[in-house]
Amino acid sequence: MDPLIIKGEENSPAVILNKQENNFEISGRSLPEEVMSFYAPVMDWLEEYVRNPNDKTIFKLKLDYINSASQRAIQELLTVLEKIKEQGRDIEIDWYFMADDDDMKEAGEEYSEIIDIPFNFKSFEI
Amino acid sequence: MRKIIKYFLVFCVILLIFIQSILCNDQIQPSASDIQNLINDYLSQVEKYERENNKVEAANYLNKIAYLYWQNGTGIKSIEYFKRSLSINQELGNTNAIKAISNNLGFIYSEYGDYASALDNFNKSLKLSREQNNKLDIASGIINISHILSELKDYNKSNEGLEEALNLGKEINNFQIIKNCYELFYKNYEKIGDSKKSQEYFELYVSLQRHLQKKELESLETRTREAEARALEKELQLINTKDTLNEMVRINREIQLKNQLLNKEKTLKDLALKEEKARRNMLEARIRARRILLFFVVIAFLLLTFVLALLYIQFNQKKKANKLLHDQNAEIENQRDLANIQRQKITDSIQYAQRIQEAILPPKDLLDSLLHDYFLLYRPKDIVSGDFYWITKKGNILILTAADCTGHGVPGGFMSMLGVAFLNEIVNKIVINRHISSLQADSILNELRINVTRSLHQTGRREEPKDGMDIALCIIDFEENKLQFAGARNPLLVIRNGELIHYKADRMSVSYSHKINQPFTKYDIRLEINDALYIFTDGYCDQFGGAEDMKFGTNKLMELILSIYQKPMSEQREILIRKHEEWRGERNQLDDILIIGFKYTGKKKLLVKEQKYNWGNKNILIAEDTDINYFFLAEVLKSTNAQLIRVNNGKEAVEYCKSNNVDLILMDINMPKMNGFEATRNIKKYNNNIPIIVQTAVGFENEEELSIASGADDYISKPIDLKSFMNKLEKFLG
Repeated sequence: MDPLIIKGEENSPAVILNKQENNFEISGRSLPEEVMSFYAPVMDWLEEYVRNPNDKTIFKLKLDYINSASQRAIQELLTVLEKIKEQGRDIEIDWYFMADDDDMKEAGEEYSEIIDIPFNFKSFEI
Repeated sequence: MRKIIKYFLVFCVILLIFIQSILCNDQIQPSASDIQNLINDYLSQVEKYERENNKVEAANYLNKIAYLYWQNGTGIKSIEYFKRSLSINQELGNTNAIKAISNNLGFIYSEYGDYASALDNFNKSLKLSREQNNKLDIASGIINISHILSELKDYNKSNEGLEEALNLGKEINNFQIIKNCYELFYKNYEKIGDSKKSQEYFELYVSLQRHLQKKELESLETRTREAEARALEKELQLINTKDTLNEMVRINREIQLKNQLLNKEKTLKDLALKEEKARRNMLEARIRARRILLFFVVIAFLLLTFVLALLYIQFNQKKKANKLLHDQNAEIENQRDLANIQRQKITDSIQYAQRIQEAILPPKDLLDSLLHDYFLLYRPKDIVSGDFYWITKKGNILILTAADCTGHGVPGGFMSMLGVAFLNEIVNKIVINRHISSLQADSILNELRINVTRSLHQTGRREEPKDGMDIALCIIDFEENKLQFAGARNPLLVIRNGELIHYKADRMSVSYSHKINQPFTKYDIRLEINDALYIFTDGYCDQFGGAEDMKFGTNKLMELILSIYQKPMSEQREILIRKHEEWRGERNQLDDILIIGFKYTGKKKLLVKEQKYNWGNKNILIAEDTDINYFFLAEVLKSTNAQLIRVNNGKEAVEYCKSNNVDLILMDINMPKMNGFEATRNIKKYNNNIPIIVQTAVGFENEEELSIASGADDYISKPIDLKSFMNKLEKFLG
C-alpha cells in the first residue's frame, strides 16, 4: 500500500500515513477552506487500510487547532479506525496537546468518549 | 499495383487523423475501469522493460501512467509515477524529459495548492532550460514560477520574473508568451491595487488575445484550403493511374502475342498447350483488370464522401469559430463590468444583511440602561457575524448571553438570527405561562437545544451536519444578588477581590451530539457588589499569533483579564483590542470575536425606572386560588411597597372586606366556594367604594361583559401586560 504524505500548510495539517513503516500521524492546525476535499484522500486511504491493517496501529494526532468543520471530519476518520478493532487487531490513539492548551486536551477527551478506541493523552512543550 | 493500394490506404489514414484532430472536442471519455485496465496494462509493460533493462521504454510507460492519473484527477498518484520516471531519466541524463516531468510535477503540485513543491519543480526545470539556453522554455518556465509567486501573494517578485519573460518573448517574437505575461501582469496589479497598471496590461492582453484568435482563424482557413488542394491532387493522380493501368494491360497482351510468335516453330502439342496457357493468362489478366477497376471505383467514391464530409465539417467549424470569436470579444468586454457589478451587488446585499443583524442585536442604549458599567467587544471576521449577544430584562432579573454559531460570515449570520429568535420565544413563553422565577439558565439551554435540533431537522444520522451554537447564558437576579450560569462550551469568568473564578461550560454545543440526552449544568452563584463578570466566545482565544505562531489561549486571556479587571470597563476593552492586534500581527483574524465584561453594581441602579409607583399606604386584596398567579402578582407589586392580602376564594374575600380596610381588590373569576362575579356583586352590595378589578382570561370575551355587569370597576386580561396593569392600578390608587 502506497504511503499518503500531505505537507502541512498554514491552514491545513501535515498527514503521514505509511503502512510499511507503521507510522500514522496528523499534525498541525486544521482549518482548510475546503475541509471535505482535504480529508477525502485521507479517508480513502484509511478505508483501504482498515481492510488489512497492521497488527498494532498507533495513530498519532498532534493538532493545535481544529475548526468546527474539521472536528466533524476527524470524528469521521476516527470512526473508520474503529473497524480495526472489529478485525481483532490492536489500535490506539496518541492524542498530543500543548501543555497548557486545555481546549485541545478537552477536544481529545470528547473524542475518546464517543470513539471506541483507547486514547493515550500526551502533553508536549515547544 | 500493390503500391497504389498502399498509397491510398495511407492517405485514408491521414485523412482520418486529420478529421479526428479537428473534432478533438468531441472525444469520448473512457470509463474508470477502462483507465484502470489501461494502467494495469502499462504497469506490466513497465515491469517487462525493467526486466529487460530497457530504461527508456520503462520511463516512457511510467509517464503514460502518470498522465492517465493526472487526466483523471488523481494527482497524488500521478506525482508518484512522474517521480519514478524522473529518477530513471536522471540516470539516463535525459535533460528534456527531466524538464518536462519537472514542469508537470510543478503543475500538479500547484493544482493541489502545494506551492512550495511546485516552485521547487518549476525552478529545476527552469535551471535546465537556462543551461540549454532555450529561450522559449526559459520564458514559459519563468511564467510558471510567476504564477506560483502570485498565488503566494509575492506579487513584486512575480512581476520581476514576468519582466524577464516578457523581454525573452519579445526577443523570440512569441506572442503566446507575451500574452501570458500581460495576463498575469494585469492580475497581479489588480491584486496589488494598482488599477491603472492593471487596466493598461489588461488592454494589452485583450488586444493580443484578439490578434492571436484572428491568427488562429486564419490558420484554420489555410488548413482548409490545403486540404482541398490535396484532395484535388489525389483525384488527378487517380485519373493518371487509370491510364497507366490500361497501358499495362495493353503491354501485357503484346508480350503474350510476341511469345506466341516466338514459339510458333514448336510442336503442335506445345503450341496448343501454350495457346491455352496464353488464353488462360489473358483471361486472368482481364479478370484482374476488372477487379482493380471495381476497387478504384469504390475508393473514388469513398474519397469523394470523405472530401465532402471534410468540407462540410470545415465549413461548420469556421462558422462556429467566427461566432465564438465574436462572442468572446463581446464577453471579454462585458465580463469585467459584470464582475464589478456582481461584486458590488453581493457586497451590498451582505451589507444589508449586516443592517438587519444589527437591528436584531440589542442596541447600545438598551445595554447602557441595563448594564451601566460594562463593555462590549464585538468584532466580526466578515461583514456579518456568527457571534451574537442577547440581553433581556424581566422584572428584577436580567438575562445576558454571548453565543457563537457554526461558521462565520453569512452562514453564521443566519444561525445567529435563529438563536435570537429562539431565545426570545423561550424566555417569553416561560414568563407568560409560568413566572419569572421559573427562568432557569440550564432549562433555557435545554429548551434552546430542542428548538435548534428540531428546526434544523437534526436526528443524529452520521452524515448530516450538526450545526448549532456555543453559548454562555447568565441570569442575574438584582433583588437577591444571585446569578445563574449555564454554558455550552462558553465559560463564565468572575473576578471577586482579586481572585478569578472560572465557571467551566459543559463540553457540548447546543446541537445534536452523543450527549443529546444530557442536560446542561447550572451554577448558582451569590453575587457581591463590584464582582466583575466576563463571558465570551472562542474567537479571541483561538487567534494564532505571537512569535511562535501559537493560539492565544484561554489561560492567557484569564491572566490578562485578571491584570486589568480593576480598570474602567471601557479601558479594559481598549486593552483587549490592543493585545489582540499585537498578538495577531499581520495574520488574518481567525474567527468572529465577542467578549462582554460587566461590573455588578447591585439592585439600586437597575430598578431606578421601577420606582415610579409608590403605594406604601395602600392595602390590596388579592382573591386568587392559584399559587403561581398570586406569586406573579406579588412579584409585580413588590416594588410598589403596597400591602398585599391574599384570600383563596370569593367567600373569604367577602368576609375580609366586611371587617377590614381595603383600597383595591384584584379578583380572580374561577375560584372554589364562590366565584369572582358573585363575590364582586356581594361586596358591591354593602360597600360600593372599594374598586374591584377582575382578571379575565383571553379568549373568553363574555367574561369582560359579565365583569362589568357584576359591578366590577375594571378588568384586566391574562396574561397580564405589566405596563397597562400598573397604569390601571394607578388610576384607582394614585
